[in-house]
Amino acid sequence: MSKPTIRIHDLATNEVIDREMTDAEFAAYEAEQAAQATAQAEAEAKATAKAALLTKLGITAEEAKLLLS
Amino acid sequence: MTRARDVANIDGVLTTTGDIYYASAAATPARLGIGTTGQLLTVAGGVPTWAAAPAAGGMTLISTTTLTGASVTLSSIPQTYNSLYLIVTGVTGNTANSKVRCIPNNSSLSDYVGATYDNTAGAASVFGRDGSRIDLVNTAGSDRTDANNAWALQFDNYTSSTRYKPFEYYGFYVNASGGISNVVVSAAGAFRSNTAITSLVFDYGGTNTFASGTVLLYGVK
Repeated sequence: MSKPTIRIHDLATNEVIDREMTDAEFAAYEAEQAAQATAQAEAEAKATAKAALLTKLGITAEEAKLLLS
Repeated sequence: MTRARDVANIDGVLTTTGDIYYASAAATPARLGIGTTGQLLTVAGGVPTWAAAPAAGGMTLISTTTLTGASVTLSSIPQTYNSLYLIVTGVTGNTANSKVRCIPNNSSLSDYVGATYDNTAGAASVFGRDGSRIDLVNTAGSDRTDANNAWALQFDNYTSSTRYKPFEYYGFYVNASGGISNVVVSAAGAFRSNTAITSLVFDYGGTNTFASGTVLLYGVK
């Protein structure tokens, strides 16, 4: 599988270089993808749990906010 | 010569068109010859003199760069201006909706702090930030297929090797999902680094790739 490309625009020479990510850059890119996927899964799980709790309590999100204000 | 002219030109000091009559010392008439086009009259050593006009301020377009791939780096940024001003427009992405981010010096985490305001909460809201990325998108992502977006971003004091660099931005984008679709966003903060900004990295969330977009970089005197 080819790695994503990156662009470097050297403003001193106005040279534009497009190249594949190095192994280190690709590893960092993949690590960030994994971290973001984890964060998104956590956020979705939290939202699901919140919705389930509201259903259990039989109140809306607005009513919950009112209770906590 | 008339008497009026004689009085104004005591001792024949004024000899040439444009000459100015002044006192080089108490009760000592003197002639200041005309300067050259564009020069301004100023004072040096307690007497009037002509000097070059100061360099004009304003903005100079340094570069125009098309966004493509996973990231775009503007490197070797000239260190001859007071501030950097950027216009980012028409950003779209491949495969997934995402954020548009700017990373000074591709720096490590905790080098950036700021507050972002947008209209998605129905009122001005504040979000503390602590990371190396300046997120131009304050929600989960901008609509990757919609190029109707634009931001203006400014860094001041960017050449300093001893002080932090304040920044601000404002802009508009189309939200990727839910809530208010047209998002107006602004932010202010500081790049917490004592290193001069010599490069700016733009990426599409760090996990996706740009399909289009343009960055104009201006130097401000």
